[in-house]
Amino acid sequence: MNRDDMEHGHPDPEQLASHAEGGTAGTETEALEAHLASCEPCREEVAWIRRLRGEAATLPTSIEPSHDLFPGIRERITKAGPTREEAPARTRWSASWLAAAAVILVALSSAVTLQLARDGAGGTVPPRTAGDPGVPGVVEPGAGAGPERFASAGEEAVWSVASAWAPTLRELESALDERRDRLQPETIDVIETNLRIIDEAIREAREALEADPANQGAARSLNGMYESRAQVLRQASLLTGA
Amino acid sequence: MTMRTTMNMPRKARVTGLVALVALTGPLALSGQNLERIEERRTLSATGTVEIETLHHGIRIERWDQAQVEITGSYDRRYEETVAEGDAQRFRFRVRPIPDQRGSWSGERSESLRVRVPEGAHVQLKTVSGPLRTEGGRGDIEFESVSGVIDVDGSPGRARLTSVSGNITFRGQSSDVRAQNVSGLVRIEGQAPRIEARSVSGSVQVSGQGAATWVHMASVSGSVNFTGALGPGSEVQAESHSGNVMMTLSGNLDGEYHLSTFSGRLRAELPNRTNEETRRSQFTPDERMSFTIGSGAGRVEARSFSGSVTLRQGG
Repeated sequence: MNRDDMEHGHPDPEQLASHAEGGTAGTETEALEAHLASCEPCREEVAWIRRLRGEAATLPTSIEPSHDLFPGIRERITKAGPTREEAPARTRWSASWLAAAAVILVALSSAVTLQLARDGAGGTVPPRTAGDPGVPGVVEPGAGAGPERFASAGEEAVWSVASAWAPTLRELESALDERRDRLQPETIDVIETNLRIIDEAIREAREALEADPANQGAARSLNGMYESRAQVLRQASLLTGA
Repeated sequence: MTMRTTMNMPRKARVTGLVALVALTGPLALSGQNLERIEERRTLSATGTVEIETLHHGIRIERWDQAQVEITGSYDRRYEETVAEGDAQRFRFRVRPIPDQRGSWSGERSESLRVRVPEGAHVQLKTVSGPLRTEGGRGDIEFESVSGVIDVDGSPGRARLTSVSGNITFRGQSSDVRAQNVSGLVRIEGQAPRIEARSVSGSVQVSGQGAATWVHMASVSGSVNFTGALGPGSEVQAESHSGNVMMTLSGNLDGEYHLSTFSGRLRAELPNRTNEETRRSQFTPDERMSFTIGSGAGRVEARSFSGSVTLRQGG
C-alpha cells in the first residue's frame, strides 16, 4: 500500500504490525507515518501491538510467581481483546497480529501454568510441544515453522488461542485425574457435566473463529472458554487437597 | 390414670405393650446419643482471623462486640473429631473425620455450628455440604463450599464466595464482592465498588442499590442479568456464551456502550443514543453495536455468543 492507497483506506494490518516492530523503511515508513498522523484507530493499533510486545517481554518465563497471579492474568488476557475492538474493521486475518497475540497469550500462559502447577498440581511444568495443543478439537498443524503449517487462516487463529492454554489445561487435567478418587461422585458429576458444557462452547467458538479468523469476538469467546475450563479444573483440583 | 390401667392389664398384654413402646420410641431415644457437644471459646483480636473447616456442618456466623470467638454445636464422635489451634490473632477450628473412618461417614446429622466472632474479624469457612450463612459484621469473609449454599447478609469488607454446586447469595454492602460457582445461581444484591460474579452453567444476577463502579458478570450457559445505575467512570461487563444477557439501567446512563452477539439478537432500548454504529460480519452472523449516551463517561459491555443481548431503561 502506498500513500495514495492510504488516503482511501487503512494500511494493511501486517504493514501496521511490521511498522510497530520497526520493520518498515523508506517510502513505506513515510507513507505509514503520514497516515498514522491523521488516523487515530491505526495509531491505537500500532500502540496496541507495541504494548503487547512490551508486556510479553516483561512477563516471567522461568521464575515462580510469589502469589496467586491467576486473577490478574485473567484480567490482562481479557483486556487484550476489547482494545482491539476499537481498531478499524479488518477484511482478512493479520498473521502479525496473530503472532503478537500468540506471544502474549503464550507468555501469560507460562505464568498461569507455573502458578497452577504450584497451587493445583504440585508438579513440574511440562515442556510445550508445538504439535500438541492438548485441547479438544484443535487441528494439528503440519510440520514446519511458518503459516504454511496451517490449512487455513482459521486454523491458525484457533491454534494461536488454543496452544496458549494447552500446557495449563494439560497440567490441571493431569492433577485432577491423579486425585479424582478424593472427590465425591456427585461432585465429579457436576464437574464433568460442566466441563462438557464448556467443551461445547469451545467447539462453537472455535467454529466461529475458523469461519471468520478476524473476528475478535469469537477469539475472545474461545479464550474465555479455555479460561473457564482452567478455572473449573483448578477449583476441582483444590478440592482434592492438592 | 394410664399407669393404673396398665398395671391392671394381664402380664402378656403388659409385655406386648412394653415391646411396642420401645419399638416406637427407640429411634428417638437413640437419636443424638452419639453427638458430642462443641463449646469452644477463645480470645480473638478484634481484627483477628477465624478459620473453620468441616465436612457436613452448616456454619452460621454471628458478630458480637466481644474480643472472643465462640463456637457451639455438636458432632458425631464415632466419625469425627475436633481440632482447635491458634492464638488471639488467628484461630483455626476443624471438625474432621477420624482417620480410620475417612470416606465411610454415615453419622448423625448434627446441628449447624454457631460461631460468634468480633465485628471486624476476618472469617474463612470451608465446608463440603453444609450451608454457610452470615449476617452483619464488617470484617472480610472467604467462604468455600462444595454443594452447600452460601448466604451472606451484611456489610463485610471483602467477600470471596466460592462453591461448586451451591447457590450463592450476597445481600448488603462490601468494598469488593467476588462470587463464583460451577453450577447454581449467583445472586448479588446491594452495593459494592467492585463486583465479580461468575458461573459455568448457573445464572448470574447482580442488582445494585447504588451506582456501580466495576462490575464483571459471566456465565457459560446461564443467563446474566444486571439491574442498576452507572456511576461516573464505571465499567459494567456482562457476558454469557449461550445464555441471554439482560441489562436494566436506571438513573445515570452516561457511557459508551458495546453490545455483541454471534448468532443471537441485539436490542438496545435506551434513549438519547449518539454515534450509533452496527457492524455485521461478512462471513458469520456476528453482529456488533456501539453507541454513546451523554459524555460517554462510563463503559458498558454486553456480549453473548448465541444468546440475545438486551439493554433497557429501568424505572
